[in-house]
Amino acid sequence: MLIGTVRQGRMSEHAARLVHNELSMRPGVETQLIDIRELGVASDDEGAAVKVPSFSAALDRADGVVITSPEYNHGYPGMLKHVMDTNSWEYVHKAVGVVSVSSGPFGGGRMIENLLPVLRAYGLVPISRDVSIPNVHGVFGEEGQLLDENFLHRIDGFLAELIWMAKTLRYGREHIANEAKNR
Amino acid sequence: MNDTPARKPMRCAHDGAKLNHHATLIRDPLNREEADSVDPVADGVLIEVHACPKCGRGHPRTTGAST
Repeated sequence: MLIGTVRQGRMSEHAARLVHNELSMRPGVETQLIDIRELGVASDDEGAAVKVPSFSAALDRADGVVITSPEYNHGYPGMLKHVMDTNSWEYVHKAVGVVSVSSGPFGGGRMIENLLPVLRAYGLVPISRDVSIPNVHGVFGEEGQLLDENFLHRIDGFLAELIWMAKTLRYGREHIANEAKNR
Repeated sequence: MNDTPARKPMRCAHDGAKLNHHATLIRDPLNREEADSVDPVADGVLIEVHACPKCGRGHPRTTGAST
């Protein structure tokens, strides 16, 4: 699970911790919450040149990724892209789900629509479900506690789909060969 | 089938299992040296992505231009 912004006071961290907690309670699932702010990715170069070994290792072990992100100016945070661009083959044929957050009424849906082509370019396989949290200041309290339990149902469906996709793709990665003749 | 190094099966560095080649990435070259190995048909550097059926770890391999 990625906390996808470095902004101080980010509300998306509450959403990430909630989903991480729900995911960690699923039997047979191991999950790791990764805060991109704490990775320390250098900003004076791009891509693999500034790879963080522990982050790459976590991605290699993972069968799926959950990205929790706010919407900034109809898009995803630049730091999220910068961090994700440090890896490549680690993403291929793995499941990804997006949790979006906004302080306004649209829930971050525009961010998701802009992020999906990027996820596809990485080789990640997006699931058909998202979790969008609009008016986030009314959804989480001061201490990050969930105020609207309706979101738990949405998260449940989201995680079920993610886990299914993650398991299916893992089987494919390990047992189904690429059929291209030359590449 | 050509028995080039890029087509020989890979083994997992951790447990020795034969890896499954499940995908090939096409990536833009990062420098002049890589630009020499760009596949002219795919128009990019080819990177095989393999997975171990025992431990699940991934293993990449740059294949270079195909002939």
